[in-house]
Amino acid sequence: MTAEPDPNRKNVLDEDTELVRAINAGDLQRFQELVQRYEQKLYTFGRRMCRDESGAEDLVQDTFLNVFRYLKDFRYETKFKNWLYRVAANTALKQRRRSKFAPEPELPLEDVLDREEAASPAEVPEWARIPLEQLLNEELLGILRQAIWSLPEKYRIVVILRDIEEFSTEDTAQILNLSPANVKVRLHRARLFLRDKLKGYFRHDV
Amino acid sequence: MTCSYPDHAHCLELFDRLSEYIDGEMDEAQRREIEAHIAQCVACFGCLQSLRRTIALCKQAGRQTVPAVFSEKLQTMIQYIQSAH
Repeated sequence: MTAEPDPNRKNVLDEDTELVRAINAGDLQRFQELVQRYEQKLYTFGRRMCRDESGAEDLVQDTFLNVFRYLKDFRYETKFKNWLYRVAANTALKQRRRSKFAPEPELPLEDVLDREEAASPAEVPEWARIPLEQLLNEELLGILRQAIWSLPEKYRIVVILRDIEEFSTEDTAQILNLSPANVKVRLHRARLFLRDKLKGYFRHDV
Repeated sequence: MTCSYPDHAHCLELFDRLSEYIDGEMDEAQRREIEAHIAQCVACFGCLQSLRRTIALCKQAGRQTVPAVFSEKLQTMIQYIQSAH
């Protein structure tokens, strides 16, 4: 059964609208263009969501398969990119549920984020003072990537969308079907968790 | 906590809103309140700066280039589903 079109519905036009309309009008060859446009971004998303390279590749592949399958159902009511990431997020959640080898890590996040402890530095630590370029190295990025992966999924996905993919709070809320207030709370907690991991790393290694 | 500010509870309350401050998602009155506080509270200023640095590092940790082999595999898959459709 097909739903009646809502006469009050407004279409969202964005940089992908023309391409998506063309594909939906039958120009399937242009799907390749869509893949090229988002392959890099989705791969980055996949690498941060999944623990290993093959998980990320599966995520990108399955996301594009789902997009190909369901693009005709896209109703132009949101930015296409938000819809795409919603597909990717749902694909990631399904993948983890299927996997026997990648259970959701159980972290006592409440303990880590004890407010008294979290608000503790008495001065600006050196790692937050020196120029970023002096700080960056592969070991540090590896530690941070591991820390991102160790976040419980509902926090991890928010910090990836907001701080890595640079979606706005509103767009992230739309992608994840959460309220903007909920996105803000999860993001703050995820950032505090990551800051705590960085504090630990610099305490011991610098 | 080693906070030196006389009103510790106020620090904790502001601490919960630091991300909103960094993201520019506060109204003018809230923003001024935070700025007045961090101007005189070393502990909260330290929290703010380390949180900012964490966010900057996250951006650096994000991007990873798609392996060429995977990119080719993806193109082949897309060609296959296009031809099968």
